[in-house]
Amino acid sequence: MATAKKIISDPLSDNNPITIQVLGICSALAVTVQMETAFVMACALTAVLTSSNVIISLLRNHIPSRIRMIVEVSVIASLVVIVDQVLRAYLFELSRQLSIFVGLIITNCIVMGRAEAFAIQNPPGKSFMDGLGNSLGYSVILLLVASGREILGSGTWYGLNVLPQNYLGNGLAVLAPGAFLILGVIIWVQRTVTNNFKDD
Amino acid sequence: MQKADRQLITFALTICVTCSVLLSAIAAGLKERQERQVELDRKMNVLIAFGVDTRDAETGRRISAERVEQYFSEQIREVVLDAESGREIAPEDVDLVAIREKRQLPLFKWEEDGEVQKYAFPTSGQGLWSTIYGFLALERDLATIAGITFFRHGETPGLGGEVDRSWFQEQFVGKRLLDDDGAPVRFQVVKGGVENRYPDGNEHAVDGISGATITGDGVARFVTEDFRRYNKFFETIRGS
Amino acid sequence: MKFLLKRLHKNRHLYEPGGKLEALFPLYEAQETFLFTPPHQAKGAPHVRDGLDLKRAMMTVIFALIPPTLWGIYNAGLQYNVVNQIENASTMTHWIQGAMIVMPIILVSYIVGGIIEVAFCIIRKHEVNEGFLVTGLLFPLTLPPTIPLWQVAVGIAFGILIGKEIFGGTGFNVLNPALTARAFLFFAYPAQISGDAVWTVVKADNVIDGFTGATPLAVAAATPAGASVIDALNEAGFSWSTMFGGAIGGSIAETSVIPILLGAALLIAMGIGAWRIMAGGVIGLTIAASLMNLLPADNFSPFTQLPFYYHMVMGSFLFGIVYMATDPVSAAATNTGKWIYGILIGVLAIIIRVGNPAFPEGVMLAILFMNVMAPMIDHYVVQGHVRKRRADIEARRLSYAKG
Repeated sequence: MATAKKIISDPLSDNNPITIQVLGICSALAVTVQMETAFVMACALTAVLTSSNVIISLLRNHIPSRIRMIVEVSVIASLVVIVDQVLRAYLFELSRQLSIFVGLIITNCIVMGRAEAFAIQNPPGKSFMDGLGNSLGYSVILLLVASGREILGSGTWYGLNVLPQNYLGNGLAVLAPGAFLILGVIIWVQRTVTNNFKDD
Repeated sequence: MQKADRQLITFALTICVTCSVLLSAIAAGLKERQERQVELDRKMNVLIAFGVDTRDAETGRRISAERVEQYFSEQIREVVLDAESGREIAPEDVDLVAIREKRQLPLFKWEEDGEVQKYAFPTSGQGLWSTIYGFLALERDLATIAGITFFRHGETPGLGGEVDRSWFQEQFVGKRLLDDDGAPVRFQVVKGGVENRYPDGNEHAVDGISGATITGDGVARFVTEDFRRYNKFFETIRGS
Repeated sequence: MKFLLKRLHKNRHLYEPGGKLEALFPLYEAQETFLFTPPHQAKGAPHVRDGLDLKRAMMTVIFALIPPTLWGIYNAGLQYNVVNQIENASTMTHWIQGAMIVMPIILVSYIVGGIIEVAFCIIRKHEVNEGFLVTGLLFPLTLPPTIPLWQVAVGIAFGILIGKEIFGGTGFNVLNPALTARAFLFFAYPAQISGDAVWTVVKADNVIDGFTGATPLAVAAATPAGASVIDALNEAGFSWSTMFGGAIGGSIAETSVIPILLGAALLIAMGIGAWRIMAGGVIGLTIAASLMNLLPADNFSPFTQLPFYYHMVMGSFLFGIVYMATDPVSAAATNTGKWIYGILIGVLAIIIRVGNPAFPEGVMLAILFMNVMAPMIDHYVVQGHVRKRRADIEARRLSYAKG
């Protein structure tokens, strides 16, 4: 029996959805040029993932197994559309920068994966915790990548100048390959530190 | 029908109905606010082209929606022109698709004390990788550039992406789109710098971005072309 | 030399396991093997593929790099003196001026790259090897003479770290580290490595009217529709023979053909550089450029009409195919594979050059792309051999059975 603490802490490092399971890479590349967009994206995913986990967990004893996946997708898709609509109405500028990537949360494997792997067979309380843990795991990496890209690329962090004014922005960090490189380095450091996946 | 099947269908129907009702309600409820946001964004960019400081000097935040609306109700008047005839179109005939295809041309007038001081119109076209969108503002003579802004593009950061930087846009101010005989010129974005190509200066050209020749050529081309579209209408104003 | 060796060996116990300076063994090992023939034998890649000692292979490459390096130094000085209109400039002042421009770039590359290399050797407990000496020289030679020194440092650091060490060090890298470093700078700081203004050092207080330092490739790509690229090149002062001679602005060592051919001859004669790759590249370029010539001139950019022998002497094609593409670690290793690999580099280089308006030079990207493909090419070549052998054996068995 996994304890509540473990449910939340596991996805942060040892079973991180991005760096270990390598899911949700698309958005990790697309929205991490600035902290601001990455932060909003992290919030959007957290909202969708925790609520989809809770809803599916509540429905788990009623969902006919033959249409299980379709029901999960309907729930997730509805939640994503709601989040997208709200962003468009209240955070217009950011939602335009995020463009289709909020909508693409529907296809984000993390959400569907947690619904299938966890929420469908666990009570709502635990599913909520699992959703929260995985969202945090996703968010931490997203924010790390975005920090690296914004600092290296523009010399700012969350729009604040953190490097001298004459700092020359690194164009590679702004391009999508820059996100791959930073993500790769994060994975490298993580595996060196935790010593998991050590081959001789 | 089996009991299990009935349950399945009932469940599926319930989910479908719940989701669709919820989504329709939310979409309908937020629609007005979303449209206001799109409109506000467009107006904000027009203001930038007119040279209005849209960021508060102290806080660095954008000016409020009310302030934008105030500008638009007090000083800016918007008309839409027909590209063929150069005449104003009645508001009920304005068609967004036609505007996108540049068959109908929106024009913004900046009025002070009842007199038009500046004009602005949207301008857009192909850069290297993407379509660049912007607004161009003209002085009262309808030939001198009062300001330009490019607010959306997908050019290479550091190269073509420099079009959204102030050093590039500020160069346009004071340049002219008509020659001395009053004919529209081919505006130029000069590779290697205006000074090198034209040692005596050139009022129809700005410096290009190093390493982004194609983006620069694109900007020069669509600014020239869009100005020609409007010029038909401008001639009637200049004539009167 | 005997004296040096004695001194070295006297201290050897300090560095061996259990010694006081055990952690610094790679440093000791480096002194020993750079200066003398090492006592131990090679075990892993790329030795296995090459069948000869890595040290000798890499030192030959360094020797082969001497002619283009010298040319690069001379030419940097020459261009400086011409553009800045220095009076009474003699050959000697060209050399001195050039050395003042180029040597700091090479030194920074070696020092920064060396520190990272040694640090990793100590952490990872492997030996410092001569591959680094090649990378540390190749990389600066591909840069424009105006490159800011801090960018050289950042570039070589990236090349060694991400291009090599992250994969496990020399022999395990997928990409050529020197080209990785250059590609990094190209995308990270495009304004300092492309465009017209970077190819010749201009004195800060000396603004020259009308000076644009466009390279032949930039001139060719910018030729307006309907005009002839050859005419445009001639007008800009780039006749075929000028480009062959190479007294023009460009990346430090890429401009002149003759020194590169000298280096290529040495590499081939010593059996170090794969002649199949070089020949393949030339063939690929010729085919691609000639096919492009067949395109209707009216519908395509005039650049497509440029004959292959112009493409051959322009930009970094020869330098890339001779020194970069033949890197034994990142290139294809089988003989058939080398042909395919070389030809595709030539073809891709021309396609990117002519077809893609954003990248005036396609050679770097073509080689890096084929670096990635090389293992796959080798895989299919080997699979092909295996199938053929199997079929042979099968055929022989059948004939025995009949007989």
